[in-house]
Amino acid sequence: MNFRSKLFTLATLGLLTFGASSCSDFLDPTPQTSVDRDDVFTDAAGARGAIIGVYGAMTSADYLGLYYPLLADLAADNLAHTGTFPQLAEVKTRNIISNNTTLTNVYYAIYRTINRANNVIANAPNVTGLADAEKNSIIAEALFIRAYCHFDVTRFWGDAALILTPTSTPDNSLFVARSTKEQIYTQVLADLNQALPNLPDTGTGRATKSAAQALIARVQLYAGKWKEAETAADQIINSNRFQLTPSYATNFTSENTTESILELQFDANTQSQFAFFNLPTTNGGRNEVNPNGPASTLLTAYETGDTRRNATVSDGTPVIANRAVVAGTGIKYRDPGTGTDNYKIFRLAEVLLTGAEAKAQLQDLTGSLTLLNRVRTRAGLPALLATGLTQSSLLNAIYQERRIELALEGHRWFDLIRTNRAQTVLGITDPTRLLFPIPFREIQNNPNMKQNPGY
Amino acid sequence: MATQSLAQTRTVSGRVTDRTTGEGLPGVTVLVKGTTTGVSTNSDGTFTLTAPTTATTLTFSSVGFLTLEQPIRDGSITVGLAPDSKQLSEVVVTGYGQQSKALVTGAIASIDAKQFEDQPVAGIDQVLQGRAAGVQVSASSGTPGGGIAVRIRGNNSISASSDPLYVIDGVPINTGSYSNIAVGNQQLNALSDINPNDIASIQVLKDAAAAAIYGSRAANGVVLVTTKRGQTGKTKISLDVYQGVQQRIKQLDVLNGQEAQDLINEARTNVGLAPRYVAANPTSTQALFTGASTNWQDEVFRTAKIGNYTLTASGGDARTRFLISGTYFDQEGIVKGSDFQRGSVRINVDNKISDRARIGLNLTGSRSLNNRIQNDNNIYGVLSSAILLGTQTPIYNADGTFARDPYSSVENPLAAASLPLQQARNNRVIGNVFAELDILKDLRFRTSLGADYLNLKEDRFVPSTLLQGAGSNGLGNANSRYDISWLTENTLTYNKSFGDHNLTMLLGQSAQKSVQEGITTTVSGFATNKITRLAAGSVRTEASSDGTLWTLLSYFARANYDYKGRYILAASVRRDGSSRFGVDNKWGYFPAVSGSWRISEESFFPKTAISELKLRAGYGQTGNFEIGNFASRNLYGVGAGNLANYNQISGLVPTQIGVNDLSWEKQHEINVGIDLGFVNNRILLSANAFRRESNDLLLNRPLPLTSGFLSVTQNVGALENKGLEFELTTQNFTKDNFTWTTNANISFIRNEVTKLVNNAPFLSGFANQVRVGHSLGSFYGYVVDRIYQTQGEITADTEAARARTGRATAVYQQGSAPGDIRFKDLNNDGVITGDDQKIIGTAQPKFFGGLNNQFSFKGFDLGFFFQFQYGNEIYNNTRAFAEGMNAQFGQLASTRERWTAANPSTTFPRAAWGDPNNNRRTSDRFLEDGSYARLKTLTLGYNLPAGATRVLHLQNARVYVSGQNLLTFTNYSGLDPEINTFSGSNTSLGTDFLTFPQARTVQVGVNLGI
Repeated sequence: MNFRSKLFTLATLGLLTFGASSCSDFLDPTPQTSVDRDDVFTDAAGARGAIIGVYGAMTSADYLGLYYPLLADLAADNLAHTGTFPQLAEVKTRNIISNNTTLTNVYYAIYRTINRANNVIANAPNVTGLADAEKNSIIAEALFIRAYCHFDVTRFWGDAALILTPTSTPDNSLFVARSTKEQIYTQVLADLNQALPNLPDTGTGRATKSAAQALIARVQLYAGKWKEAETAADQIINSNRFQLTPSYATNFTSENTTESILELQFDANTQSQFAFFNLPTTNGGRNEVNPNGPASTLLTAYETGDTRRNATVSDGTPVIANRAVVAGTGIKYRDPGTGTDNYKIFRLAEVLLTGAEAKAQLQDLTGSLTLLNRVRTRAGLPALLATGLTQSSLLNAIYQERRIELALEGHRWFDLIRTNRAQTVLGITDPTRLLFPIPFREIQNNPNMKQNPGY
Repeated sequence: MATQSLAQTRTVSGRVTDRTTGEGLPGVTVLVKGTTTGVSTNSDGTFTLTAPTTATTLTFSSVGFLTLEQPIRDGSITVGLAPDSKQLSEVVVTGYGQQSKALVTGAIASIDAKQFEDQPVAGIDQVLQGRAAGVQVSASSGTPGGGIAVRIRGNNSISASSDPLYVIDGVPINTGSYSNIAVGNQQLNALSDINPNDIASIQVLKDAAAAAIYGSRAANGVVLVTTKRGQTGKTKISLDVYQGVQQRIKQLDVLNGQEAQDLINEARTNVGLAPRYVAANPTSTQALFTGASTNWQDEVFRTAKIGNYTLTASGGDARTRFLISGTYFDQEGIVKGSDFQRGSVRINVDNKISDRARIGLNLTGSRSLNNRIQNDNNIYGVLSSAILLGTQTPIYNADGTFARDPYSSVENPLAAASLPLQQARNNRVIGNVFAELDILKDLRFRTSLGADYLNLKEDRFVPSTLLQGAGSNGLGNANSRYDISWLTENTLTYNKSFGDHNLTMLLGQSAQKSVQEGITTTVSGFATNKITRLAAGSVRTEASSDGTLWTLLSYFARANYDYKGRYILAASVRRDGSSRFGVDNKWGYFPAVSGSWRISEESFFPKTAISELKLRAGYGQTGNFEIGNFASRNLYGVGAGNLANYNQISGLVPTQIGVNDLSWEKQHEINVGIDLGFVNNRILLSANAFRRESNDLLLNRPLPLTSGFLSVTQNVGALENKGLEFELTTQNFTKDNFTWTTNANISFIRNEVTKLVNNAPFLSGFANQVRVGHSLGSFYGYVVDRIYQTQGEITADTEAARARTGRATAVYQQGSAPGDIRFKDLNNDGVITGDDQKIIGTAQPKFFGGLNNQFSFKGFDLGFFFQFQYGNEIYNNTRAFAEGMNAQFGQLASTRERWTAANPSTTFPRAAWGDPNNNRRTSDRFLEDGSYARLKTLTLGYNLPAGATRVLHLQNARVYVSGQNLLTFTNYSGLDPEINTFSGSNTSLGTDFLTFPQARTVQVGVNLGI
């Protein structure tokens, strides 16, 4: 429309509307960068777009793009707080105020992911023009992610809201009370078992059968269901679909390796923030957290000869952004500029250690040791010998191995909590500090939401 | 003059000028005192009259000026008239019309350009400051071209905008920030495109009775701007120039380099860590004392220039009048790296086609360039890093590159000021064409077509030599945003007198559409820092376009009636339909009625010292439609900003839930007022009392986060503003060669939130909370009790906590040691939890106002203008960092008072790395009295006498010196009490966080008439 005709249109519009009672088209324009929610699950493209959006929610810096894993190392003894954010300082000192905005944002980012998954689970079945196999696979992926998220909520907050339907109207149905951790585990496992048959066997960066089994193994380990954890771990291990990379470092210098079960994919358009927060300013980061500093003991936790040390923290030789990385800095994440570092959700090494722990708990010390030593020998360490090994010393060896193997990947705090070692290892006197506070605004806005004790 | 009169006469001649500009004043009535003998002055202000020899005195009077008496003497008489901005005979512009001030029934404040024309300001919002009762103007910062909060009768909204509607020559314009580049909290300001030199007058429609004619956009008041127009007569050319320098008002006192390092060491050893700085043999985590001591504020503040150059030509004949002006405004910021330049032109033309038909044009175009710096809550900002970076860091490394603190992520302030490129270029055209036809003698039809075109182009380049660009090897953005608003208006006006009855009726219609489109691109991985355009980048991280729009369709009517100017009634109604509202609620009505009684016009009113007595009352309903364009809908969105994409595939995600009955905010306001004049109106007092209830507030109601949404926009809150406003104008002296006038205004406004969703309070900003029963801008936090002096006190608290709670591991407060702050257990449950917070203050002042004095003596004029507010608090979040003593940040000199075993302070806590006790939590520790009074402007001018101007071939010439912010009286410890880091917010108020302060400006200027 050129200038003159626009003028003409407006002038006539002005005159025409003088007597008219309404002008509905004029007052009912169409949004240009959004669609009505009723117009989404109407075709295959809508359903495919919606499941992509569920993964998109997981990439948030408030969730798996940075904070969720980072907090698990920071709250424990793998990272020091060396930066500027007071919210992170509170987590480090475990003197958290309930309006801590970082924790609030993490909590929200998880439930935002759940709501997106619930939209797919509720609406995808009605989509026409989509083959049943693909439709079921999409729903199964959403179930997997919903399970993953609910499990993540309980890890920091304990009992939590269980949300199984999409949010459609802002009414009192949103005032959900907390379910117990056990109820959440039950629902998580139900979601995963429902998803399993319809998930694909393979796929990069998307939920697969193996990913679901890995999550089952992790959940059962947390729940102390050793037999179930062992079964799930063995299924993955025995499938031989995944192999430990010969070099531990390969997992962090390349992506989607042979031992990767599920990695959340990041690229220049969907960036992760790990390297930016971990690296010092000279390497393009902001030095917010560092394994080398107050209340971090990671650097001293390595056995001599462990090749994982130099793959996890710099010895002063790695070069990022044309500068050598100062010794002691975490280097599992290496791209501060365009944030292409993937987040490793499940690696075979974790499943091996899960299997080892479950077997040790079930008194299968030999089976346990076999799995543990696969992880140790890959790291260049001598195999542990069965001689003189007790269940308790084996478990401690597994705990130590888990810390080193999975350092800076978001496990440490949870492993200390679930094995009841957090208070002794971290010197926490008040057990109320073992759970994070429910965000203050949540207590304010939901009359049925109860705060954790001590906050 | 041909006939000799009986009495003897003589010829008197002279010239009348405007005392403030020195220009000749046409049309001034010159009378021989006590007679009807007189003439009007010519277009150049000259006059000649024949007076009886017995006459001794002449009186000079003109609308808008103070009447002056001058003795007749031999030779030419030259007088300068002082403007009278408050005269009752003046005409005020109301929505879609104008009326005599005497007949006004609503609460309208008028500000004449004379009051601010030489003030060195970029925008029209700044000139409103302190000029009108009930109008609170708060600069968010001293950023050139930055955002300003204008609040008419308080904050009227929580989630929608609280900015008034600005209407320039009948065109409602777009305001706010269109920036897509985050450089910190300080925003761009679309109002800074309007050149204040073009303004003839500003009327502020304050109460609902006056503003309701603007319907669903009037809730926050309406600012009507009338631009200057040409006058019939000889073409006048005038040149107005000023140049000045701006300087910082104050600087924060900081520790020197050695003290800073000692403090860091102390903070670390206090929590059992090794010291950071040592004199010899550092370990791998230690360093030698740097030996540097850099006062970063000295490095980033500068003496900055400001200048304004305006050339205007205006004039006309009986049929056509015109005004053409061009202005160039140039302001450097007092913080290095920031500046703002604007060039603008204006063309206003009026033409009489015939006695019955007129056409006209108002048009302004401007182009501005804003060089921005990163600011406020930002480790890469200039002023922010100057405070956050410790003095122990040198400016440069040995190799000449910018030095950084190896233990800190804060940027070098000079690097932040000089290396990045952050430009915002704005092109703006605002104007309208109109035609008027007198269909009948008393019936006029007017049609107009207006437009507001805005194009913002933003370019940013962060080179790899900056910390922010090091990882990405250079980072660039290029964004473009348009907003094109069209408006068509048609009105019929009927104006007739029936004897003593006067009636004016208005019927009108308008339609407006505003379309916004944007393109945003981000690229990183630059080949070189020498090419800053995105062509040199290799990684495209964002490329996107967007568009949105709103429409508004309106019908309105108004009737004004008066009997002998004694009983006055007005009523209006507007019907608005908006695209922004839900399908169930598209249309609304906005009625208003008001009336006044001029008791002093009654025959029974005695002739006393009281020369004017007028009572006014009005009631009206207005609305606020400033929410998202599609806020009522349930939407799925796309794009990286919504986290919709994954693994290079784009997705669709729920972004918004809405409600179908979403509607405008509804305001009901009652206003009563009294206007009093004494001693022939030499003293005028105007008082207003109002109560404004805002219901169905468009609230971004916080949802439980478990819903997956942060909030939903609903009509759920309510709040109330009530207040008293007083304006006093006195003409203290009106002698022939000495005049002194005073304008004073003061406002007492009380704001209270009366309803929220389930009345659940919510937090905002760093320290604000919105809570029923309290004002917007209330501060919420912990309360400091005292400093723990001994371990025994802490142990006693712990034992009491265990006894009270029955938990064996309970502690009163986590992580405490001697020297830490003990916070008060407000709910008395034995332990410090989130429930031990309360409202600890408010950003709303108890009263605010302005005081202006104008003197003129012979050719000299002197004006000074104070602006003040009292009773508000400021949350000084800068201190939470710069007195935090918890990490690597630069620290204020006040930390010398910190608690140590040797210096057991009772007010200042210990230094503790990581702050295990969380001494820095939001508490009254950082809350300060924000009251201030400020000498906003002081101007001394001199009009060259006629003899001198004649020699220079000038019509008039005035030179002046002027100062802004010369004096500030405040107890506030920060850089400036006139700040808010949350620029543009309704709920996060009165918070200082590394915010760019106002400057002190001294300028010299000339006004020349050629």
